[in-house]
This record gives sequence, C-alpha cells and structure tokens, in this order.
Amino acid sequence: MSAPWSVLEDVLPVLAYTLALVAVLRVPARPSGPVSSGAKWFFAASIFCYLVGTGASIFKHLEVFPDVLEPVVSSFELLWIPFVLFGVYSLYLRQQYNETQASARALVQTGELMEDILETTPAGIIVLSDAGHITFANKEARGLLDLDEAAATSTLHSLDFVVRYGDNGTHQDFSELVGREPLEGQRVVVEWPSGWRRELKVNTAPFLAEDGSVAGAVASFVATN
Amino acid sequence: MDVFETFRFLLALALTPLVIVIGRKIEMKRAYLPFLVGYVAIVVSFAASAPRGWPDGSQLLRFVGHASFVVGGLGMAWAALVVRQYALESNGTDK
Repeated sequence: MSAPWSVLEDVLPVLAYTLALVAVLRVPARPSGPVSSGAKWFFAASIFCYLVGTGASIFKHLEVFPDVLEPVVSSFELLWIPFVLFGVYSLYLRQQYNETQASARALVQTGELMEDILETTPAGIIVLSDAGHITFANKEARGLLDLDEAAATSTLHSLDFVVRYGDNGTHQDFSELVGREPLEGQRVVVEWPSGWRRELKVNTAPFLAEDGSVAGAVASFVATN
Repeated sequence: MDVFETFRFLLALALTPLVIVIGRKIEMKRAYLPFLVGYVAIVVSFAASAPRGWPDGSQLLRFVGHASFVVGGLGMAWAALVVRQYALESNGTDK
C-alpha cells in the first residue's frame, strides 16, 4: 500500500524552495559587495535543482511525468550538494578578496600620509644606504643639500659637496652617519666647491636587514647656520 | 536501501564538515544559523529518503523526510534573506 500524497510532501517544499530562490535572486551582487555573482548563481542553481525535483514529484502524482526524464531529475537533485558547497566557498573567497582589497587601500593611504608628512615637515630627511649614499631625500633635504629633485629619488653615488664630521677630514658620502647605534645632535658640515658651507644638526636611526646587518639609516637634520 | 538516495546522503554527509568549517569563516554570523539549519535539515531528509520505496510502516520516516525537506527550504530562504540584508547594508541602503 502506497502512502497517500500529502500537501506536505511536495507543495510545501515547492513553496519553501521558491521562496528561497526568490530571496537568493534578490541578493544584490556587486563588484565590491560581500556577495559575488558566482556565489549568488551557485546558490540559485542549487535551489533550482530542488525545485526541479519537487516539481517533477508533483507531475508524477498527476501522472503526467515522462519516465525518461527520471534520471535527469535525479542528476539535478544530486547537483544540489556541489552547488551549495561552491556557493559557500565563493562567499568565502569574496570575503578574502574584499579583505585583501581593504588592506591594499589602507596601505596606499598610509603610504600617502607618510609621504605628505615627509614632504611637509620643516626638517630635512634623507634615507641612506649602508654605504652612506642618499637613496631618498624629502623636499626640505633637497633644499638644504641643493640636490636635484630627480636625482634625489634615485641612489646618489657622488655628491657635489664634501661632508665633514668634526675633525675627521672630508668624506664624499654620509657613511659616518650609518652605524648600529642611533645618533642624536651630531654636527655635520657640508661644503660645496664654491666655498659655500652649511652646518647641520643630525639625528639618525639605523634600520637592519633580515640577517641583522645594518642596511642603512634614516637621518633627519636642520641647518644650524 | 535505495543506492542513489544512499549515495546522495553519504556525499552530503561527507561534505558537511567542509560546509560547516567554511561557513563559520564567513563573517555573516546571522546567516550562519539559518543556513546550517537548512543544510542539516536537507541532509536529514536525504537520510530519511535512503530506505527504498517508503515501505509500509515507515510513515514516521516519511514524515521526517518531507518535514525536514520543507525545513531545509525555509532555512535556505531565511539564510538568503539575511545575506541579502548584509549585502544591502554593505552597500549603504536598506531598501
């Protein structure tokens, strides 16, 4: 004896899955939103698979369902499982992508903020390589050291001035400022061939390479005369 | 046992931990519970469908199968509505 066909058996599932399908189709999938179009359509496809199954069941009870379609309906019902999994994974991937994008934006904003600070500070700031060559100079440093703006953004191996540190003679670079210990209030004199000289008061902070060696230093300075 | 229904149930059961683990990592906490309810209900309906041909005397099993199938659909609908709300809120509108 077969069990009687009940409303619960097919009609309610059709209503429930139709409601689910409508809800999924109304989810806005935007490029930067939390739901990707891939996730939306995987979920929609998974629910559609079950609508096909429940719809076929109703047609069977009405005896208008061709038997030849039975394997097709079974395949559709089986597809629900991978589709749901793909939908969940797509949601997760979109979340990861959005977090990466947000981190990248925050990094760019931080970089721009640091650049603004460097370019507007009234002190000269230079970044030195381990050999004491200038690899970066801010606007004030370019003015105080009379550096060419384009050249200051690339490594300067030779300067058109000499550097004096107390009575240690002259140097062609700032290597004396690069060391393991930070310097504070270091007096440095730069002299140009024309005889023009400028005395600077310098603070430094070294930075280290991955192997622990000194990779360079950041030096900030102001002119004292 | 119906081979197809049993295979479907075992496949869904095998993938359940994966769905749960990934689902928990998605930061839509209000959608997780309804989704889980829907998913588990559907897996239960698969389990209830596995015995072949709804033999006489299995009315309880039959009821559980269909009721959980309905609950599964409603759970999915509920989860979809919550996800939609998340998507709208993130886009700055609640329409």
